[in-house]
Amino acid sequence: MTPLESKEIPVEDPIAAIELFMEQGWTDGLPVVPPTPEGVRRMVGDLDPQEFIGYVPPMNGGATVEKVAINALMAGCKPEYLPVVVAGLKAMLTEKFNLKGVQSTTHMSTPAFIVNGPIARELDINCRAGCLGSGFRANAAIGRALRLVMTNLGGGIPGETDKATFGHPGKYAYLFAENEEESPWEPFHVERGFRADESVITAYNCEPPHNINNHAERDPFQILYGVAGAMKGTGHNNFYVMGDTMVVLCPEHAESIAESGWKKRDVKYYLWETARQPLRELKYNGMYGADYKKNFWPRWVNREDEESLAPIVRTPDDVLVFVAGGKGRHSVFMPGWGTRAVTQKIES
Amino acid sequence: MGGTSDGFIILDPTPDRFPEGGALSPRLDTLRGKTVAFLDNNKLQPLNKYFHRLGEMLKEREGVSEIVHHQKPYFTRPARPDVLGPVAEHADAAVTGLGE
Repeated sequence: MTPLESKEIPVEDPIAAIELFMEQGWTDGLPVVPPTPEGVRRMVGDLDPQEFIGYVPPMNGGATVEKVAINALMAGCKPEYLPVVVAGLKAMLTEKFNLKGVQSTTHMSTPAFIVNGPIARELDINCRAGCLGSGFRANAAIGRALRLVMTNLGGGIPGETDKATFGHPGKYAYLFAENEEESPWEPFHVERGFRADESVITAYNCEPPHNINNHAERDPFQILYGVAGAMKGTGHNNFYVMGDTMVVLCPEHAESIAESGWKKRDVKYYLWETARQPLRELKYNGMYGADYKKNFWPRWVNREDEESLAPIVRTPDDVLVFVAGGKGRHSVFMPGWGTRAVTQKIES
Repeated sequence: MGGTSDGFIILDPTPDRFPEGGALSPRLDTLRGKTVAFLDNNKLQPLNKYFHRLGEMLKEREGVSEIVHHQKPYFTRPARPDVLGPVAEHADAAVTGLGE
């Protein structure tokens, strides 16, 4: 059995351990589970603790299975959660995800994680009522483990290297699963070319979710008009930087939309066609002011005409649509930071 | 739990290893007569007035002979070798930054 290599720190008792971690800044501000060698060994299980995953920016600390397991234990994970944490980290370490940027930006965005496939049911990752809130161990602990990895291995220290003007509550934990059973459409990972029986995690840099309340309508045009209305708010990054954007429809909205024969692709096209703003509305927002000619908009947006409509993202495929949540007619819009969502297979 | 005769043992959650970085270039003895490059991250519009003013000041006060301005194609993406190469090749020193 490959030995653990992390420095052993003797302390008086578990409370002293918690206080030490607070003093060192090795936490998200809440007490952590003290990572004892026995606990970390259980977390690592049959994996090689020295298997190297990558360097985590901006500090570029080396992430081994052992280091990730320490942080996962601290976050409250069960050993069976570890493959999800590792896959989430791998997704964040791809170049196009730009973890260095999102860890350092003044923007509030932080990685959100969405799990698809059978592992969500096996680990009881909540996809139903309250899935974006508190109270569910797998969601909270896996999401928190990824945050602690970003802090302790990546050096994302709020107010120091993490320059976020505000940050947002999702920086504690921001993870849910797709409600595949109650979705009328193919799951997100199948749309992305994975098999339904494969498990994946998708990482996406974004703001907190914005609620879209629509108890009134059953017609897809009416429901989605309201969703597009929320997406059209100025000030979020998508209109200026593009990248991917994300909508999570509740099962009741999705069912109503699907009853009219709409496929997920129709939803994406409608939202992309409708969530637009004329340049005169956009020009004094974002980081461009009146000089907006070097924006990331597609070429076909006429910068010389202030009535030209800019789309929220470059193509309908860049509108990512999930189904999640419980009973009730509330969907959510999660404005993107301007980068691409990255989907990573979970090996377990 | 991890109780031992030495007390309670916990493991350090911070990294033990870091990438092997390239060697830092030796510091210049003087900026006089040198070429200094600025790598603008292409976020501020119009052109980065701050870097331009800094360049003027370096010429006025430090005797820098030439200022060269470069831009990343997109501020949201890391600078790749095709962006960094010309900066390194033609300048004695470079100024870059993160954020705005």
